[in-house]
Amino acid sequence: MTAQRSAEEILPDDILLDVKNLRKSFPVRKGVFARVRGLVEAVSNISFKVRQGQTLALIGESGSGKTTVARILLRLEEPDGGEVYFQGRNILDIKGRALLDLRRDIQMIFQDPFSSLNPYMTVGQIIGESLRVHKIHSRKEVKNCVQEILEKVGLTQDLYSRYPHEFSGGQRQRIGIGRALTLNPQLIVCDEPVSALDVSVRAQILNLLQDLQETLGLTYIFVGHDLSVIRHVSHEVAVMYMGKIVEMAFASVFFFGPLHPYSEALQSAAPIPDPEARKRRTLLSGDVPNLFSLPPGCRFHTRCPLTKDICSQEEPRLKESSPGHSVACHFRG
Amino acid sequence: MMENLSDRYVLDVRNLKVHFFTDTGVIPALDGVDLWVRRGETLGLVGESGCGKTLTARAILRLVPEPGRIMDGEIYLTGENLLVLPEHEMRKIRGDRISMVFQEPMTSLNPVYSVGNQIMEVLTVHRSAMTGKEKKERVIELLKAAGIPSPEQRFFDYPRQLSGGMRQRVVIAMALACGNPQLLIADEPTTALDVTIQAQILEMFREIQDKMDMSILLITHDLGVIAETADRVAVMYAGTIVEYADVVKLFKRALHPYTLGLLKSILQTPQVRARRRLHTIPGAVPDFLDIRNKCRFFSRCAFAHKNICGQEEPEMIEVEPGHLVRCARVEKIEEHRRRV
Repeated sequence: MTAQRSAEEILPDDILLDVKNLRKSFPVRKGVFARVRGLVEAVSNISFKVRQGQTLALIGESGSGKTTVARILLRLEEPDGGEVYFQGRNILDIKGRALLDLRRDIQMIFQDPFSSLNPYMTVGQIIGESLRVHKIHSRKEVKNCVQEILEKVGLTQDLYSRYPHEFSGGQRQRIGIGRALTLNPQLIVCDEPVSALDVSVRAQILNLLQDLQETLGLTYIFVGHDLSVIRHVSHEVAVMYMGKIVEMAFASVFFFGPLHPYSEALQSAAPIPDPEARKRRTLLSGDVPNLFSLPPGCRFHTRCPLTKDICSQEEPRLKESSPGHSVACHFRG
Repeated sequence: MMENLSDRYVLDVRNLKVHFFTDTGVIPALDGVDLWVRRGETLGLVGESGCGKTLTARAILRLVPEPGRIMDGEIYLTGENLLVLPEHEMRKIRGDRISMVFQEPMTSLNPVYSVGNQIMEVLTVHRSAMTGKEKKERVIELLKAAGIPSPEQRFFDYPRQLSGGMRQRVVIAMALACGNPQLLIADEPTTALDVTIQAQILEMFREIQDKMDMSILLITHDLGVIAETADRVAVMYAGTIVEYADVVKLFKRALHPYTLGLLKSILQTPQVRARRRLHTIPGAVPDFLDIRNKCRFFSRCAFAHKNICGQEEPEMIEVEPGHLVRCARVEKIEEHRRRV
């Protein structure tokens, strides 16, 4: 049904990325013959849109599926179903040359600045590698281009031939950001880019990301679990729990008053840096359930303070409670 | 006098110096650290990576890694100087009177032993009189107290079968195995955990402390965690303590420029408008080989004065009872605060 639609129809005004009904399961293999004994549903039928020049935050804890979504968008993982429209084009069925071109438009910044840089390569090689892969510049131009990038991310040009181990965490993350910028991407997927950094350095990197967004018109998908960081960077947020989006809203609305009990718990769990505001919080009991045996009905009902009979029987659908604010809960919204 | 002190202070660290002897020179990684932890209180030790927080913890346990050596100082545990004890006496203290919870619950547990066996090992070392059956009962009791559901079954689980939060609970159960440690050192105990699990673990620390009247040295870089759990705070910078205060005072009336910078760069104040520019501390932590004869924060400080701060290392001064600052420009900072 989508094949005949023109780009304009699919893409009202300024939507850069439109994800529809994305699904991904991973087989669980066990035993001597590594037979498939079950499926873990990492991403379960999720849809969201990202506007040009804005930041969408994907919030969730370990195992919520947020990183799998990020990897699918970069075509590092093949989904089981769904569509991903980038600038009006479904990027899930492109191949070969076109896929290589797509990779110029979508880049990624990784969580751990210590393991995401090759220790045998110099900074110049790391940042310039993509220019060589995509055969964009001649050798000499590559060097100039890399030096420009270094300046853009707040490093000095003389660091060109240094190796990653000579840098601090914050500087490494700047190198990682530089590498993502070389090909002038439209969309950058940031996978917890500051969670491995110290507070004062964290602020520097967040400022850098924000400056780059403003000057280069970048669009970010910001994956994370730290709400204090998310509040600072995002325009819109989507909260994930066990492979589902449970709440989606504009950041201003979300931080003013989340609707889903899980979002509430997340906000309440984040420590507040004010000793006079110590509070008794709504603690979630228990752990995230095993993805291998999903609870029936609402996936959150095993830990939810509001749970009633209906929650273990029927899965709530994500529905709009007010314009731009959707929630998947039987009692909220 | 010593008796009096040991009543008040469970841990009293004085002028602790640890140097690393490397190929490029001697690095004064801990350069005169003073710390006090009172009975039943939590002292938060804050600072950035590489400032010496973890090294302080390791030095207290006399487990400084090579090529480091404790050069000077005294470490009193309830009045007894740990630095003069023979190694076999020290081994009796580790895990019994002082226990430790490390940051990474995956790497601090042994993957090839069941969690029950690992906790039992602590009892085998420190409580050799207990029978096997007694030990097992005790371990199950501990797992239960640490909030682990169905402890009888979990006893036989291996670390990989447990989630991060559960593993950290096992580590805490292990730290409490000998009953009542006088001092619990918790090094970034929740950094590797999800927020909802972090909240559970911090709550558990509070409960244990209330119940056992235990002292905690909590090492973290997260000022939010400090605000929630610490009674007093020591701020560490480049191998020394730069400010020392009651937690409320520190958040309200911090005086050291580094502490002020840290407090300003934290993000989460509900009133703050989203997407504003964040305050950052200019520059980076100085090279340890280049911090002699001046204030360690000199090159990054907005209040620095060349002739004062660039000439000698400032002394720790007590601005009011219990509030100590290592800064020569305190008056300037107070004045600045009044104006703002």
